[in-house]
Order: sequence, then C-alpha cells, then structure tokens
Amino acid sequence: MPDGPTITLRILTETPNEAATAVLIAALDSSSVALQLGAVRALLQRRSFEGMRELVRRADSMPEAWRQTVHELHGRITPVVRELLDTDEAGRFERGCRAAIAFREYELMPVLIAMLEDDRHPFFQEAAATLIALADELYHDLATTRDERRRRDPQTARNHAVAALEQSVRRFAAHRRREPIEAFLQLVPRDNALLSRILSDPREPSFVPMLEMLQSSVQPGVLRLLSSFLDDGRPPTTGLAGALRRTDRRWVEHLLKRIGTEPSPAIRANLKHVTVIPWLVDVRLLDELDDAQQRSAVRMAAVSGIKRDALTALLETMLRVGKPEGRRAAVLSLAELKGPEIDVLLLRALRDDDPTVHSVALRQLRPRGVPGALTTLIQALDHSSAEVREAARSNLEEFTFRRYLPAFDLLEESVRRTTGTLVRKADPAAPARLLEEMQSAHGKRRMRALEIAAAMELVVALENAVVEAAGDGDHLVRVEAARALGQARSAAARDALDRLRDDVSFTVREAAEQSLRRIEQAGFVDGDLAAGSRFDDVEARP
Amino acid sequence: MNGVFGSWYWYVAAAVVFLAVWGATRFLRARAERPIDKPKHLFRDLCWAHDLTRREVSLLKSLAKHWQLATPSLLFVQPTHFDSAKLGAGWEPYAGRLADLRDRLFLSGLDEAATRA
Repeated sequence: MPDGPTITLRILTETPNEAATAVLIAALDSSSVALQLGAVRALLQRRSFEGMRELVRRADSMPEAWRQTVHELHGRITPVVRELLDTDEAGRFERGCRAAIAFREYELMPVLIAMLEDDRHPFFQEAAATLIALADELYHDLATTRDERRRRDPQTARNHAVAALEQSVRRFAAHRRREPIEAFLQLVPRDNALLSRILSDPREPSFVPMLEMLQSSVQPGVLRLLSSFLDDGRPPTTGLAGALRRTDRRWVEHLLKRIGTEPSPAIRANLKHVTVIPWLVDVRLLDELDDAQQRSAVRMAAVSGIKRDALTALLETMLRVGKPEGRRAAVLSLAELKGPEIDVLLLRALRDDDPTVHSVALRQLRPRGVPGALTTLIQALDHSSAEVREAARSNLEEFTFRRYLPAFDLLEESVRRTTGTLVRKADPAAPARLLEEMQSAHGKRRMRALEIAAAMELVVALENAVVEAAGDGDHLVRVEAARALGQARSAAARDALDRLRDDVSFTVREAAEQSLRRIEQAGFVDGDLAAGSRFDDVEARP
Repeated sequence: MNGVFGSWYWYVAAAVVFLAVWGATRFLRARAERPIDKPKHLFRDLCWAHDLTRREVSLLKSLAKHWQLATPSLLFVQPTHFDSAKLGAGWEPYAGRLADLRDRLFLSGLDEAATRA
C-alpha cells in the first residue's frame, strides 16, 4: 500500500485542478524530504509555468537532489528559462543564464549563439559566457558515466550543440566572436570535417582565432581535443604543433596524464615528428611535477624527435633532481642512447640511493662496455639491496657454476679461488649444484667437487656432505675431504679428521694431520660459525 | 421533386443534427480542456484519496482555520502544522488524533532514511 506522501503527490500530479500548483509550491518548503522531491517532480510533470518559475527562482540554492530531478525531466523547464533570457532586464537575464547552467539547458545553446552574435543585444557578453559554461557542463556530462535513468543522452545533446556551433564558426567573419569557437573546440570530436578543414587552411577566417584558442584555452574539452591529436593517425599539423608549443602547467599535466606510463604506438609515431617541446627545459616546472608525471615526461621526451642534446639535458636534470619515478624513467631511457656523455650519466645513476635506479644502471654497464664495469658488478654482489645484487648477478652470467665446473681443471690454483668466490656470489644455485656433484656416482667427480668446495669456500656451508665424504670408499675422495675439512669449524669436522688420522692411506692421514694443524692454528672453536652459514638444507637435485 | 426522400426538409433536418452533434462535441471538449482552479475540489479529492472520515476531514478544516491557511489542502504537505505543541492548550484533547493523522499523511520510507542519515 502506498504511503501518505505518495498518495498526496499522485493526486497533486494528476489532477487537472490548477489549485494543486500552489500546494506543490508550498510543498517545496515542507519539512518532509519525500514531499519536497515529489513536489519538484510533480511541478515539472504538470508543466506548470508558475511552479517551474518558482524552481528557476530557487536554482542557485536548490539541493543537488532537486537538480538531479530537473535533469531527469530535462526539457520541461526549458521554456521557463528561455522566457527569462528573452528580456531587457539585466537581473532577469542573469537569473536565466544561471538557471541555464544549473539545469544544463543545452537546448538553449542556439539561442545563446544567436544573442552573442548580435552585438546590439544588450547582454551578448553574458550570453557568450553562458555558452562557454554550458559547453563545459556538457563536456563533463560526456566525460562521466551516463546514468541510464536519465532521459537525456549527452551524446545527442553534443551532436545538436556541435551542429549549432559549426554554423556560428562558419559565420565568424560576420560576427568576429571567439566564444563559439572555444565552445566548438570544447565539444567537437577530433575527426570533425569542419575542424580539419579550418586547421588545414590558413585562409579560413577562423583559422587564426582557432589556433590561438588551441594554444591558450584552459577548458578541459579543448585540452582533451588537443591531446587527442596525438592519438590521431594523421593529425592536423597545425593542431599538433599548437599543442606541443604550449607551456602552461594545466596543459602539461593533461598531456602527461594522456601519455601515461608509456606512450601508445600512435602517440609515439606522432611524437617522433615533434622536434621542440619548450617546457622540457623548464626545470622549475619539471621539479613541481609529481612522480608519475615526471616518468611520463621522460618517456615522452625519449620517444619524441627532440634533439639529442635536449634529451640528454632532460635526463641529466631528472637524474639529478627528479623524484624516484622520474629518475627510474631517466635511467631506463639511457638504454636507448649511446655515447660517452650517456656513460657519465649512467655512472651517476650508480650512485643513486634508489635500488631500482642503481640496478637499472648496473644492467646497462656491460652492454655499453663501460670501463671498470666488471669490478663495479662484482662489488655490487655484496650490495645491501637484493634488487641490486640480482642485477649484478644477471650481468655476470659467465660466473655460473655450470661454466665454472668444466673449466675448473684448466684453471690455476689462484684463479680457481678468485673465480670460485665470484661464482659463489653470482650464482645462487651453486651450492645445490655442488652438492649434486659431491653425491655423484663417479669418484673422480666427487673428488673434484670437494676441491671446488674448498676453492669456493663452501666447505662450511656444505659441511655435512664433506664430513660424509670423509668416509668415502675411494681414498682419493677421502684425501680431498680431509683437505677441505681444513676450512671447517665444527666438532663433527674435527671428529671426522681425527678418524682420518687412522686411515689406511698414508696420503689421507697426512692430509688430515695438515687440516687439523690448520684448524688449531686458526684457533677455531667448536660451534664457531662466524664466517659463514650452513647449507644443511641444501638437497641434491633429482 | 418526387417522394418523401426527395423533399428538401430532409436535408435541413440532417444539417441540423450534424450541427447539433458538432456543437455538443466542441462544447464538451472545451469544457474538459478548460483549466479549473478549485481549491475546495482539490481538498475533497485529497481527503478521498487518503480515505479520511468525516471527523478527520472536519478536524483538518479546523486546523486549516487555526493556521489561517489559504486552502486546507496545504495541510497535506506541511507536517509541522500537526505538531500539538505548537497548537496550544486548546488542541490538547485532539493531540492523539492529530498524531495519528500526521502519521497516515506523512510517514514515508524516504523521510525515515533521511532522518537516520
């Protein structure tokens, strides 16, 4: 069963009795929200001029819910707003303009155009300002998600508005008013025939004002149009040039938002033809950009056709004073450039506190052949950041256990040790692979694995396996185990060496004695693992 | 002219009937389209729609008189007029009936939601 206000409003909406209008107007001030909203709707549905005049009178102060109701029933209030505009009284006209904007009366755009084109009209300037504001409202309507409950399709409103504005732009020579051009640019799609024609023909009367508008208007619709030229497969040259000559902050921010993390293929193709982007040298502006904007600025410059000096200067600035994302983008962009000055920037990036910047720079060192790259990479293996260590490792691919193993027998003792230490740091899989070798069925491979463990200083880490090898049936393996255990520190290792002192093989006994002496000389104490970590959990791979 | 149907009287009679029907139609249509502005009728329609009793209608009329309203229909959109605290001591005997009437005319889900919010 409908509630009380619903019954009242149904009667007040449907009755032909004009007395309902006064009651509905009074309901606008009711303490009941349901009655207030219902009264707004009922006045519009009744098409009551008196009631709608009251709504227009309250246009500035009405709650948003009322405004939404007026939007839902768009077109109903238009005659009343139009009535206000058809006046010689300034206050009344101003009220009409405010109502047109508040109720988004796009249907009134042709009326406003006619007024502003007539310089004898007493309020042609107000009409022009209202036209721009309405175009802005329509642009926002188009940009926001459409509410299906609303009867008005903003796309249809746009088509009508653009058609009316096209006529006005064509009449520019007669009226010389720029507002219709600005409103046209706010709403027009980039593939509009008139727009293309004007921008490609400097003899068009509206060519210059349109170009000036493209370079100066801060209306979101104009900015949107400008940046959309970048996505165009065949953009108007003047439009694109106009866009990229702008240096105002609002445009720069809009452009960078459009470019995003990485320019699209279409944008890249267009940017390749752009040789000058003036705002890229404005250090203050660059500094004021946020992280994401700096990143976009760098990527945009990197794919554009600007001169190499300008790009290098931008990258240098960004690496020096940029925010983390800007510096990261800058160091990534260095990869696309070659030359000694770029190497200098790369070395600067290696001193960056940000591990990502550091690691990206590291990855570029060897491909560029920067002197001292190997040393830098080796030093980076001990860096506190895992990201940097990983970058160093990935660039030291020759220092893998897989390569070290077959080459081991060919290396001199000192080289075995230095390379082994590097492999241990550069290849995280080395201990596991070495363990596999230590468990090989071939005695010679087990023996070599023990030698490698000693050379790589992995005995402590793989101590259990080495102690186990001390009981190997092959005396040559036991000899190497005894030698390797000289690096060990645990009681288990010492016990194993003690047992090997009674080995049947003289060589094993001698090696065990030497290792025990080494341990005693070094003053190792039981359980002291200060210089290394165990890899007890390392298991042989299947 | 030969025969009854050939007489001119028939033509006159047909024209008179046609004009009468046309005139009546025009009159009724004009009457239906004529704007009416009758507050009393509106009040009556509202009372019927809410299924109010004679006593309730009478109470509403007295209330409208008390508030000096231009039309008692305004009571259907102004819940504050039913507030017995504002009405004064003379209305105390009717406080219960006024509260019932106010609930019937004004309780709505939307207002409850707005109050909660």
